[in-house]
Amino acid sequence: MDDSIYRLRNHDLLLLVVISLLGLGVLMVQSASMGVSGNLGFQLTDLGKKQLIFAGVGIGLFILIKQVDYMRLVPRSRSVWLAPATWLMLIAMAACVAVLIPHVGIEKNGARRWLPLGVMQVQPSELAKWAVVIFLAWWLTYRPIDLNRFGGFLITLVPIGLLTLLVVIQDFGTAALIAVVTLAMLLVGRVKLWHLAVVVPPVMAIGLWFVAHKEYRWKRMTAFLDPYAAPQAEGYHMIQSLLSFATGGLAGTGIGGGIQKLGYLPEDTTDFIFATVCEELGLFGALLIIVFYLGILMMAWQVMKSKRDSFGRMLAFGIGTMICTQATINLAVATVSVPTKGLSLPLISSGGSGLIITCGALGLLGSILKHRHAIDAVVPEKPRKKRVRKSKVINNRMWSEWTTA
Amino acid sequence: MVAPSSFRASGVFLLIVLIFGALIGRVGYLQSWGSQKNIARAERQQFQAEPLFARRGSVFDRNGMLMAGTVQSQSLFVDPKFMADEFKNLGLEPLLEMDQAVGRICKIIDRNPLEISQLLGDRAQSRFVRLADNLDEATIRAIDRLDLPGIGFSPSNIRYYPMGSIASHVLGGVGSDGNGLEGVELKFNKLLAGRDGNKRTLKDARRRPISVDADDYVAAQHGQHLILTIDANIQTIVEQELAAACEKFKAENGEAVVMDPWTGEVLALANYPTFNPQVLNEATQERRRDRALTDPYEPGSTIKPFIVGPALQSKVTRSAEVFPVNGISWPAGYGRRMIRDVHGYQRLALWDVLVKSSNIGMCMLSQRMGNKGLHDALKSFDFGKRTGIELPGEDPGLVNPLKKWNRFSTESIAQGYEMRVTPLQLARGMCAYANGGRLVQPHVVEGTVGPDGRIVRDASRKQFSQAPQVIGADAANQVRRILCDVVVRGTATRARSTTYNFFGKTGTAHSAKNGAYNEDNYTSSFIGGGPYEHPRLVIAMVIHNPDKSLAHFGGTVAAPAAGQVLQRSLEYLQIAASPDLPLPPPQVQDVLYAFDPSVYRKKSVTVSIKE
Repeated sequence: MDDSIYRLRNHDLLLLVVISLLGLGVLMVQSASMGVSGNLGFQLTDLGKKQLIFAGVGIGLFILIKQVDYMRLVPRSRSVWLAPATWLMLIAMAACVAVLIPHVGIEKNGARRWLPLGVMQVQPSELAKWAVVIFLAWWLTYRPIDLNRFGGFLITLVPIGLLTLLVVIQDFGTAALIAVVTLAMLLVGRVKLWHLAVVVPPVMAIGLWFVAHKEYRWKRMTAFLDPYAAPQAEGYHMIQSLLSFATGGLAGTGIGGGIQKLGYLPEDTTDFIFATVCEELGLFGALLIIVFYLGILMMAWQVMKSKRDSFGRMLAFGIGTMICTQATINLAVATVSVPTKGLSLPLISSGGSGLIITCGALGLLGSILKHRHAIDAVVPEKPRKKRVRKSKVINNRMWSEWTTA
Repeated sequence: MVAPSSFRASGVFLLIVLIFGALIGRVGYLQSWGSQKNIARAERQQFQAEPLFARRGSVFDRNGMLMAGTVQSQSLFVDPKFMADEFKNLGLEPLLEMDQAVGRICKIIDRNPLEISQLLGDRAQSRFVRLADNLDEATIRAIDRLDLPGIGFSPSNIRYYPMGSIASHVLGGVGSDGNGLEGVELKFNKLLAGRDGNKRTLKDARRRPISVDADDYVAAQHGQHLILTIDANIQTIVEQELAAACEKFKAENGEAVVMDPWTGEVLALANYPTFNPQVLNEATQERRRDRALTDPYEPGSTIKPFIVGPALQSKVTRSAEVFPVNGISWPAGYGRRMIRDVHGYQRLALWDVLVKSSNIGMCMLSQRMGNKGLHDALKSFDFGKRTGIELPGEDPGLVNPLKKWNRFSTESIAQGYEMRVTPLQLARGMCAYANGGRLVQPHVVEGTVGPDGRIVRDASRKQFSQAPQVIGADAANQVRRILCDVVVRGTATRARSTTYNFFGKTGTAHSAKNGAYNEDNYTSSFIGGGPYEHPRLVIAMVIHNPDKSLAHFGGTVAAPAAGQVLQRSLEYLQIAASPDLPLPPPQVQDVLYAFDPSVYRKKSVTVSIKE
């Protein structure tokens, strides 16, 4: 991408998309969390206030990470243990184990998913999914071991499988999301197709058995086919979501005019915020959200199709796929097209740590857009020394030396 | 270094874009056609509709006295589900506690606790079970003090009849749903009931109200008030006298109608026995029937003035004409049928035919008029037609069409058989003689009071001058003068008043029982009015099946009671006492049976004061 004064650069465009999504999120969380208070005049709700602060922090983190070269994630030596991606995986695993320990992990709504971390609570599963993306992007492009052999392929799956198993205990939705994104990244990372063909069906079979062998899980999985079969039990969330779409209609009731959010629709600021958006903004709101996600996907595609370093392309693909897959699953749940999963709508649903971590991941995408490396970018032997002293101009000049184009 | 595959990536991205597209389609579908299935459910959960009850209008008599009114009272209801949940939340055994609660409530409202427990058990999931209606303040306070969960009061409207059974047949009554079942309550139900409004409130999930759209609020239109032409005082007098007569002669039932001859307004309309409109469902259907206009009967001699009048009018006869009655029986109808009188006379003037109520004289007259003349005479007074009074269930009575009449009809009709009239029709016919020949329209409703408090009178109501002149004023006044003699020296002397000059005609008719006449069932009636000089009231009183061992003649059973009604009512209306009656015209005096001018003089003028 040319840096030009005449057009928006892609990372600025991404910043606008992130700000738009966060802004819409703050607006909708505020709207959805409003209730009948009897007070006249506008008031920020607790959730709205929190969301506003988190969005500010998220944008700050996005801009911060955007400025930093993503190549720092690549180890300077070929040792696996020195790679930041490996350490990220290890930290994620440790967090996932820690959250399972009573008194350490915090339990909410019957699921132990949160780790107290200073001022806020962190979901290890949020950490895990981005760790997997970064790890796979590095592993698949730098290939510390030979992935063309089946043995090497299986070794690749070990850490990811381990982490996914740790996540599945606490959060089935995120685990499924990790599995789907892993599959897509393996596919794009030029793994042999027959390797996938051998591994994927058994994994899917195990997953299916896991769901089907307990009747209550199976009932929950198939409830979306006919929510009215159990309107007060499994079908309740789904019915209320359907009613939100029906109440709003194509035109919507206008911002703040939603009725379903007044206690009828559960999880109206988190998992089912899309239903609130559609009730208040109608089809337009749905289109708006999808256009913004497609904007992120387009940014990833811009990186993917350009001639540049493999790690950056792979990472951009992973980030774009992760965000958009999560969004599609959330939308599908809200429209009662698939079974209910506890997945939030990225950047819009209320929720502190997930929001900030997602902003950080998108900052990474911004960094990829901003910092462009050559096709076979090698890690500078001693980059740290040089970079510390470098001004921005010199920095650019130095990169132009690396760039063959 | 291995470069990722752009081709495979484009495949993945394309899939994501396609899924987004499909989701947009899904959203659009759910918001448009797909919403049909859900929208009703959404509205049901988000909106709460509640009726705004209209207050039923009151009914007043012509003087503004309340005859039927609506008061708001409280009903007690229970929410069994809420009650059980509350007890459960308090950590108590719900069934045990509920039984105790029911026991305490039942002690106050005086119901059987087992019954109520059973009811609540059957409807344990219900949110509204009504336990008692029409609670007074003290009861409500007592129940309030129990401080039980899931107990509430809801306002309900109760219809009150402050006059008890007075005018019960005119008022009718309402059913448990508040709709009229009889009388004006039924006839004017729509007007009295008004229109219930309703309110649809948007509520949040905790049922706190949020807003009401302008379209969703329809205010209740309260019912209009009704003002009757009934005078509660006269009505009371009539009911007292009617009941006294019926009880004295052990009659089965009786009816009386009092009308204002100049306007057609019904001042009193009574039936015996009465019922209490407050507890309408305790009265049998039989008893609730307003017989004064629903049950026509064969009038007997009371029909005679309505034949003589038109005969005089059409100059078929003169009041001084003398009929050769010749004894108590006369073979009419080619000798195959004997017409009988109670008393035998040789010669009777037309005047005396009415005064003595001679069947033979009437038959001679009617033979001269012919079937057509008789038919026209009856038809001119609208017998056989509904009067159109504002009460439900009126019967038209019966006057056969002329082609159904046979050669026996002439004599039957002349004596008031082969036809049926209602007491109301008789009273209305009598009005024509009282007011100089105009057939007025009977009314029971004076007007309505709208929401603005103004009295609205029926604009289509006819003025007196617009009423059809069914008989000439001369003939009408002549008949009225003859009818005065009925009271002075004829069959109705027991109705004679020392204050006023009444006119009237008695009737004693065989009534058919099980399709055959017999010697034990009679209908005694009296139609008349007063005072003669300027009639103010007209009455028709009919008493069915008095005990024959006591009395059965109209002049004995009905006439004294009717006379008392007229006397007391005229006194109540503060009508001046009448002067002595004018003597009959000289040419009539000559042919009258045992004429004695002294009988026309009042014996003494005393004001009778009744307790």
